[in-house]
Amino acid sequence: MMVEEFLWYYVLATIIGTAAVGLCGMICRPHMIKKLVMLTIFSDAIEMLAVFIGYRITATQPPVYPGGVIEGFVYPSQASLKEFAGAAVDPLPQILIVTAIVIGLAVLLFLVTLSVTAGEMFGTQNLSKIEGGEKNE
Amino acid sequence: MKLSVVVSLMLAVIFAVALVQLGLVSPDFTSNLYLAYKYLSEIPLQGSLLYTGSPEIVTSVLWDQRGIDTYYETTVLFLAIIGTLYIFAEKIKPSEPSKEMTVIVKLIAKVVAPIIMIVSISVALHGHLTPGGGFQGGSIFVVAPLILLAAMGGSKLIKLGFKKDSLLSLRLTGLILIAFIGISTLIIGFMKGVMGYLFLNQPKTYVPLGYADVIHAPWGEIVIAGTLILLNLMEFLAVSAGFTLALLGLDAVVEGGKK
Amino acid sequence: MIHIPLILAAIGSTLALIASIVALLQRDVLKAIILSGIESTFFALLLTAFLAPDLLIAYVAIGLGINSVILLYALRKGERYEE
Repeated sequence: MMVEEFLWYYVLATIIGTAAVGLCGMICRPHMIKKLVMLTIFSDAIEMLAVFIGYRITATQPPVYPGGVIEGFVYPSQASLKEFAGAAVDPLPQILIVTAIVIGLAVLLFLVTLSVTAGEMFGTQNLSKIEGGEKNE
Repeated sequence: MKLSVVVSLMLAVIFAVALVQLGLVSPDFTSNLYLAYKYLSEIPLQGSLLYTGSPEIVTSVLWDQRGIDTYYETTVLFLAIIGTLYIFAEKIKPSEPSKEMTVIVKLIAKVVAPIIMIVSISVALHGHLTPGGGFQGGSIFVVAPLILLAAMGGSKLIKLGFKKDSLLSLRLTGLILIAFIGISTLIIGFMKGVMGYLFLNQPKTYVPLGYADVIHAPWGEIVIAGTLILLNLMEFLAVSAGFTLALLGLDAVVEGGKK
Repeated sequence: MIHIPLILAAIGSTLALIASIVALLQRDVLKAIILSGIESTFFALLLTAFLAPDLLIAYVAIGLGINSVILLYALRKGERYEE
């Protein structure tokens, strides 16, 4: 069990590390499209963290009940369902993250239209070259 | 830059240590929480309170037990698309790409795009039996006009039938029909004098009206899980038409020349 | 003894961390967009190891296909190198 526990803590550390890299990149860099790329990296890492919380080390099946759809529909019995519920992965975080992925795409579409309009109005997409924009070092 | 690196690393370390110390995550969890166990063992079981008629847990919770959440999420997508179209408030004119692509790129785009469209509608219609559903099918569908747009320009898409007015009306049809299916049991129950509920799928012990879960045809049995197949189809229409519309608007501004 | 899903997850998350660090330190925005696509591929490997098939189909289509092309379209109205 020692190897599996070490691997579990290692995966947790790297996922949170990727989120920290994305957060730092959003604040530092002055180009608008670079900020959007770091935003997508940050939101992806938080979604992976949420799915990781619902994972059990001893689980062997995704949350789809196998059997019953080939040649005639058979209603599942209670004993086989108890065995399935003991060997499956937690489905609740996956349900909430399906919504989050699609809403992240919609927000990115809106931010892209805003940055394209700003690029036409000011002539550049670099925030340190506009008067009144942010100054880095 | 040094200050922000130090601050974000410190925040990450504090977050990770707090998650492990408070007992929220641990490698020693070997059985599910009580709510997850109840969902996993009672949703495919006929005769229980949570029965939806499909062996797929994720799709049935999305559209039956949490149906109102998913409906409002479709509305949020619609608001984002309206915001995009409002900023690019000009007519979407046909445009040519600024650099002509070679024969290889155009041929592969013409071959791959119909295959992607057929795979996406198959994934969307089988959402109640295998992993898939409305969101997944709609997202795969958007890749096909994207490839055609990058290889051949916006004029080819408008010639193929992706016009702005027809896409907008498809989007509105999908959204209105989802709301109608959700309210239909309420209206029918009101007319019959029985109490109905929003987004009701199967008949329960205290509500004698609902949708069927298996259709008995003369050549066999067809498994439809009540409202799940209808809602998946409407969501596929809504998502695919909406994102293609936003892509047309983006392309018209970027390639349309000087304003 | 050998727990294969956790080994796959460790490989995928390490390579994603390396790709995102390289994307942070780049001066060329075009290469940063391509590197975010590479990082999405390794996150798809992570989702396979965590037994989540519904998420995998949506994530590959959105993160790898649509995000890269939309950001490439948006880059045309500005400059390619940030200084």
